[in-house]
Amino acid sequence: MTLIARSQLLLEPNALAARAIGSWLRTATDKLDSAAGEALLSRAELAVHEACMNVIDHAHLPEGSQVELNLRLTTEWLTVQIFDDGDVFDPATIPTPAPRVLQERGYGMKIIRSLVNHVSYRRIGSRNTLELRIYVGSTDDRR
Amino acid sequence: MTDDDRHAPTQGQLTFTVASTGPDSAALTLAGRFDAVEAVAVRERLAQPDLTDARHLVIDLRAVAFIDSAGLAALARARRDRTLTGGSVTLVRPASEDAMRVFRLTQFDEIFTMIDSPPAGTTS
Repeated sequence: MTLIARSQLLLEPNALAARAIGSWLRTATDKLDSAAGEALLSRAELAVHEACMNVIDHAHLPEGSQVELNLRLTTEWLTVQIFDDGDVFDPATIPTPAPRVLQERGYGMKIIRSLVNHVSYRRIGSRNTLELRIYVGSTDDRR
Repeated sequence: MTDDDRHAPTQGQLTFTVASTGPDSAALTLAGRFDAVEAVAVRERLAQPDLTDARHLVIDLRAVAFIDSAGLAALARARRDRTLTGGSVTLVRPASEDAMRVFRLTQFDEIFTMIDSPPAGTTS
């Protein structure tokens, strides 16, 4: 397993700033061959975007706080860690929306779980860490 | 290798076009990135009288390249508002596979009526 890229991004906690996620991920996925990089980018951008928007919308971040992202890409895995100083958020407690029942909210975690291979959460002190791992060769979504 | 960059937000403004297609119907065509930033503007546009008066609404998403859960929420609200009054919302499928994937993952593709191209006479 060879390290291909490692990177950090600091986001102001607003939706406009979250648009930087795609170009940030692309600097890493462009180091893969074209097809693998594009496939990985499309999954990762949406999953990381939803995770960050969840923090921005619901974590009640302290004044002046930012969202910190760390990325590590190897030949096998893309791992993105999202750090924030907001409220406790354990994704295991988030219910999955009822199938085929229209609701306006609650789809963010559903989308994340469908796109990534592993989701893990830790709370250390006052800091949340959400880790998303995507296998570089992933092609199947989970519904 | 370590890259420590400060990436500027990418541009991706959503454009929308509205056309009246009948006495109680309209078509809203969206193009670009339909994310949490743009969902606010879409909700505001949907709340304007020319669209609130349209009980039957076609939303053309063919040129939407990216949609997130906030975009879906705006669509869900539009559908809920119309079904409460006997109206309807029909979506024209995004051409982008990435955008269409979001509808499949959330099963919105089974909740909404989704078609491949706008009905004749509704192109805005």
